[in-house]
Formats: sequence, C-alpha cells, structure tokens
Amino acid sequence: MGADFIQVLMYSVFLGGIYAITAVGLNLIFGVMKIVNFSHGVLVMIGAYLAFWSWKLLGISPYIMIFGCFIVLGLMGIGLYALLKKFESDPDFELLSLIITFGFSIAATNIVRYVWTSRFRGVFVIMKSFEIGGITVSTARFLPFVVGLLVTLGLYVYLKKSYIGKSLRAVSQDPSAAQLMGVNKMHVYLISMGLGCGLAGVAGGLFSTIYAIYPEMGFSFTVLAFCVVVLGGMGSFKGCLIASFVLAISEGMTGFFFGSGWKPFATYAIIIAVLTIRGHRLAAR
Amino acid sequence: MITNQNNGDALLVLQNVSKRFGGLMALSNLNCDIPRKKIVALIGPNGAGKTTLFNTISGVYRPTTGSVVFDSVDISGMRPHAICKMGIARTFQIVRPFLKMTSLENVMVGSMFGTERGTGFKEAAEKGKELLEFVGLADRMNTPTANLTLVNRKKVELAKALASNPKLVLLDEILAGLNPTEVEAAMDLIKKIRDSLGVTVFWVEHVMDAVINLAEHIVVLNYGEKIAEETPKGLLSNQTVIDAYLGEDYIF
Amino acid sequence: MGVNQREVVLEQRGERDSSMGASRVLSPKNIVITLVILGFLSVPYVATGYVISLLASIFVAGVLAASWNLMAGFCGYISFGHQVFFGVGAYAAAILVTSLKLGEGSLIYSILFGGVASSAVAFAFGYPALILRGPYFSILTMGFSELMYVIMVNTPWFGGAEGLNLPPVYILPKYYTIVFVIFAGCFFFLYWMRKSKFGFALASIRQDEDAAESSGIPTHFYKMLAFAVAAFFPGLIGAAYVWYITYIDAVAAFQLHLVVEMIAITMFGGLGTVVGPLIGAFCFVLLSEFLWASMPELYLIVLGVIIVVIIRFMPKGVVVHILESLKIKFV
Repeated sequence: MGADFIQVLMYSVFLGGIYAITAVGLNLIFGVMKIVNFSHGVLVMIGAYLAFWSWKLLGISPYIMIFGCFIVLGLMGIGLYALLKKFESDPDFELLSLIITFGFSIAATNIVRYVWTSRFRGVFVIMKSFEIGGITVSTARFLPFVVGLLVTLGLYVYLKKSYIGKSLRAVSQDPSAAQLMGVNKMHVYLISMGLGCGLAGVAGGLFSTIYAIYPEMGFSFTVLAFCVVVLGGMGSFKGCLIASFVLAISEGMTGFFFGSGWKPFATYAIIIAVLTIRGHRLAAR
Repeated sequence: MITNQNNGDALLVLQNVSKRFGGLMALSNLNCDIPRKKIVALIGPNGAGKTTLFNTISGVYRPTTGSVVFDSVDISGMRPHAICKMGIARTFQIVRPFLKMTSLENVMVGSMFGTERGTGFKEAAEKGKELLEFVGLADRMNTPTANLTLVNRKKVELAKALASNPKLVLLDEILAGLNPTEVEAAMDLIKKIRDSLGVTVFWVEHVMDAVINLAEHIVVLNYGEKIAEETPKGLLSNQTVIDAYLGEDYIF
Repeated sequence: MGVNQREVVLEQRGERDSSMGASRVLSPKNIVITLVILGFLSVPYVATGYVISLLASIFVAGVLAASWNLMAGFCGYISFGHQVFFGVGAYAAAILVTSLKLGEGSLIYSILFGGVASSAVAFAFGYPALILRGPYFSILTMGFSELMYVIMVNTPWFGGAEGLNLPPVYILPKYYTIVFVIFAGCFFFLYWMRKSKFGFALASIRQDEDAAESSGIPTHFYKMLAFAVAAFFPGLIGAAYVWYITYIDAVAAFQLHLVVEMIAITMFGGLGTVVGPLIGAFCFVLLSEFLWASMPELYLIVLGVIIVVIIRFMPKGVVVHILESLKIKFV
C-alpha cells in the first residue's frame, strides 16, 4: 500500500509537469493578447492525436514528434488568431472570443469523435524503468516531467532576458506604449499565439506517451489549465508551476483514495474553496 | 504648515492607513482629516499612491492596516456599493461611463442605485435632467456616451457621481486632457459643487495652477507617505514638496 | 451586442404613462399577443401529434436559450454548464416524487419544486462562482456541471447509474400545455425584467461591472439573483420533461448538447435581446427537423461551426441583423 501510494504520488507530480506546459501556454495567450482561448485544451488533444497517429502510421517516435506538434499547433494557433482578429477592438472581445473558441472546441472535439471514435488510444513506449529508493519509476513517465520543467524554466528565462520576451511583457501591459517604443505588436501577437498553442501541442504529445487519449480530453484540459491560472495567478510563472503540481497531486490523491470517478471533484472543490475564502480580492482582472 | 488637528468634525478621517500589494507598500501610515464642505486637493508625483488612496477610500481596496472613518463610521473594507450609498462618490482617472447608455441614463444609475434608499425611474430621470443642466450638458441628454467628447464624458461621470447624493466626492484627475478654457469651466463647476450642493471635494490633480487657485487644503503624497499638508500659500514655500514634486522652477 | 440595452429606459418609462387606461390594455399589440397565446393553447385540440411535439421542442429550446441569454446577454457572464439546471430540476422533481411516493396530483408542485431547487442550487453555487469574471466563471460552470454528473452517477440515493422512474402520468397534449405555459411565463417575465430597475442594474453590470459597483449597485448579489432566475426556468422545464419521459438518469439529465444549442440559438437570435432566443428557437428547431437530427456527432460539429461562423460574421445575431436592416424596433 505504501509503495503504491508513493508511486501514485510520484506519477501525479510527473503529470503536473504536463499540466504546467499547458497552463504556461494559456498564460501567454491570455496574458499578452487578452484572448480567452477556450479551445486550449482541444489543441492539447489535437497534439496528442497527432503524436499518436504519427507513431501508429509512420512509426515516428512521439518524443521526436513533439517538435512537429509544436509547429503544427503553433500554426493552428496563428490561424485561430486570424479568426479572432476581426473584433480585436470590440468592447465585447473577451466575451466573443470565449464563445467562438468554445464553438471551435465543440466542432473540433466532435470531428475527432466522428472520424476516430471515442475509443481510447495510447502510444506504447517501451522504456527501461529505474529505481529510486526501492520504488520503480517508469522513465516514460519521468521524461515528460523533466521536459515540462525544462520548457517552463527555459521559457521563463527566455521571457525575462530576451528582447522578444521583454516585448511580450511590454505588450501585455500596454500595447500602445509598447508600439510607441518600437515593438512590433503584430510580431509579438503572432509569437505569443504560436508559442502558446505550440506548447499545448507539446503537452498533448507528451501526454499521449503516458495516458490514454480520447476526444473529450480537450475539455478536461481546458478546464484544468484555467484552474491552474485561477490558483496560480495570471502572468505568474511560479504560480503556474506550483498550481499545476498542486492540482495534479490532489487529483491523483483523490483518485487513489476515492476512485477515479471523483477526480474532477478535487479540482473544482479546491477552486471553489479558494474563491470562497480569498473572496472578492481574487477577482481575476 | 497645518498641524494635524484632531478635528472632531472632519468628514473623512484616515487613521494610519496602509496598503500593501505583495512586496510593495503603496500607502504607508497615512493620517489625514478631510474637513466638511471644503475643497481638499491631493497631489504628488506619479506612483505616489493617490489613486490607490482613492481606491482604498471608495472600497475597491481594503486597507492592509489602519482604518477609514467616514462621518464617524468605520468604512474600512466595505464594498464599493455600500460606500457609495453611505455618501462617497467618485470619478475615475480614465473616464468610465456606460458607453451604450445615454448621458441621462448614466446619471440615472447614480440616483437609482447610489443614493441611500434608491429611487425609481421617474424620479431619477428628473434628478438626472437637473444634474445634467448643472454640469452644462442639458442638450446632450439623450446622446449615447460613446459619442461624446472626453470633456462631456467627464461631465456625465461627474453628474452621475452627484446623482447619488454624496457628502464627499472623490475626483481623480478630472482636469486631465482639458484645454485651458475647459479647465476654467471645470474649476467653476467644482466651486459650485462645494457652494451650491454643500459637497466636500477631495481631488487628485496634477494641474497645479488649478490646485493653487481653488483648493483650501492640499495634501501631498510621495511614495505612499504624506509628506506635507498645507494651504496653497504654504505649499509653495515647503521645501520638501518642492524637492519631491514641484521643482525649484515652479513659478506661481 | 448590447445595442438593445438602450431601448430599455426612457421610451418605455417616461412618456408612456400618459396614455389612458382602457386603450392601453386593449392596444393592438396586446390583442395580437392574446390571440397568439390562445392560438397556441388550442393547438392540442386541432393539430397532429407531430406538430404538437415539434412545438413543444421549440418551447423547450426557447426557454433554455432565453435562460442562458439572461446570464450571457443581460449580465455578460457565459455559463458553459447551464444544462446542469435542466438536470437539477429534473432530478429534484424525480427525487421528490419517488421518495415521497407521490402520484399524479403532485405534478404541478413537483415541477415548481424542480424550478425552486434549481434556483437554490444556482444561488448557492453563484456565491463563490460569481466572484470570478469572464472565462474563469465559465470554466467553473462547466466544472460544476461535470461535478453534478459525477455526484448523481455515483450516489445510489439519487438512483445512481440506473436512474429513477416516475409514474406515467401524462401524454403529449398535457406536456405541451405545461411547457407552453412555462415558455410564455418565461418570456413575459424576461420582458418585464429587462425594463425593470433590476434589469437596468444588470445592463450597467454588463457594460462595466466595476463602475456599476462604484455607482452603488450591489453587483455580486444582483448577479446571484440573476443566476437564480436563469436557473429557475430550465429547472421547471427539466421537471416537466422528466414527467413526460417518466425516467431520469445522470446521462439524460446533464447533456452537453443542450448548452451548445442554447448558445447557438441565442447567438443566432441575438445575444442580449429578449426576442432573439424566441425567434432563434423557432428557426432552429424547424431547421433541425428537416436537416440533421439523425447523426449525433455531425449535429454537434455543425452546431460548433455555426457558432463560430455566426460570431465571426454576424456577432449581433442573424435575426438582429435582419430586424435592424428592416428597421423593425425590438427589444
């Protein structure tokens, strides 16, 4: 029982890495462009399926395909932006982008359902496991965690130090002022969108190596990513990381003790509790 | 130099008010009395905490420590709508009218929801028309505020604030973006607010000429602390204020 | 988008009061409305089962869409889990009837109970949820819906996976009449609410929530109230529906496609208007009948695409665009 518990705990932590990549992507898109990307989770799902089918039909290893996912989803993201660009200046922009991306999610999820059915799919990765303190850890699960951390840290450093990173932050704070300073707003927008969605694709690809994928996972991921942002705070990398792990662990523990049917319960209960306690001052702006 | 008298008749009393955001101390131990029916100005460099103070008074923020006492009632931490009903109205630095509503409708919101008991549509419409006349917008009553110029939007917001029967009105940089003629007109209006309506005005401003000419007391903020509280004359010879904000070359 | 918010105040309030009592009651508009209502009420006596059931679907869809529109269009809060209130109403009625072993006479009461239970749930859930703005609120509603499903499916007291059964009490005409009454009540209520002081406050909240709060509007409380109302009507409908099909289980109660329909209908008809969901429901259900009801996955795909296309090209709503170009005044 003890060993099982540790293992579940560990795997939850590893899953947190994937959640972190997803949430960071969402953070970028919402933080910089103020676009509410309700289809973020669906992009993860598409990335997962992309990785799966590349593996199944072309034999490409998902670990390599991750780059492909990044590019494909990044491009899709830019396409999405083109769709949304029209009402950038509409006061109802947030509302409209919310609904339109929801519509997109519904359409995409059901297209996948129709074409590939709801059957669970999974990538089979054969890798050696290793041992830590008597507990077997599968490398397949460990890798995404490492990748997740690296990506998040790398992005953090990049955004902090590079010119692009600074432009991104400038635009997220004040687009007009940034433009006056010579920042090309369009470039910044395209990069954030591409990067953010690309990250979603990467998360999906990694996810497919460990867990079963299915069309409806898109919504679960979207909800999760937003929950991470609620907990961790919009724009905060550190918050994002911590919140991802907190949520992944509580999800895992709930599943372990109460059965996997109750997993979503943990996430929502936490959010509702946090809100009720921290009250009005948490109103997300 | 005005000493901080504990004026029992002060309308608004700030007692050791501090506001912290994470690691940033936006307001530190502010003590201040705003006397009734006077025009009090709040000045200071950008980032000094003036709007933060307004937000703390009007309920958008809760003071980290200290208390805000209005008309002998501790209002620290009350929600903005409750504070509005108690008699504090405010305007925003960046004007926020309800864009899809007409000027009259905007003002009606103030009287229907901002007054202590609230009013119905008819009463609010009558009051609204009066107030729009008071601010000089009678001919723009039925124009959607989205179509109004900046000056007129400010007037609408001011009228809306007045519609809630406030005892204290917080004006946040209401002169920003106005040309000299408009500034003159606005100053007259502020005077009228104090004189005809008996409303106390607490006013954040950068346009120093207006402040010197109109304000009866001036409170100076810098880095979240009150560094001076003066009459207009006293202000100009206060070295701390000159160093922090006015500059040696300021000529009145 | 909230273009019609402007129609709210003055035209209705200020000048109308001067008209005489009698002629106002018998105005052409009111006569037409009464005739239409009588017309619909007499349908079960003259039409075929097919027509009756079609109209009933329209009324159901209309009420659901109008309720979603109340939160989304009047307040600016998008609820992606709104179908949960249909389910809660259905379950509440079913639980009431089965646990107290009630019979036919409890029909009206159980339906009302369904509505009230749904409102209560919304009010309670709204307390923490409405602190959030925009997408965060929307996510939470989605989560809440999923949560209710999980609870209902896993708790044997609520019938678990097998669901609950009710006595077969009514047949189509009675169902139709009940649903129509709910429909009419819903729309008249919303029309009245739109022009009321409360509706005016909601319009302010929709346009600038913080400015509204600073102006004295108790935004959090009002949103909770609106949410409760927006849950009441779907609750009624759910309870009415469960009597009709005499069976409820978690899957039937919390169907995602319901909310997608609510959204599509409202966006088609016009977000924030009162008539939008009404006209939208008519068009929509009629179209569905003749087009694509057969393949469930395709249905949702098309709905999703419709939502995207409508917002991209006619965000105010197709019906609104048409009415505006014909210069017809509406609310």
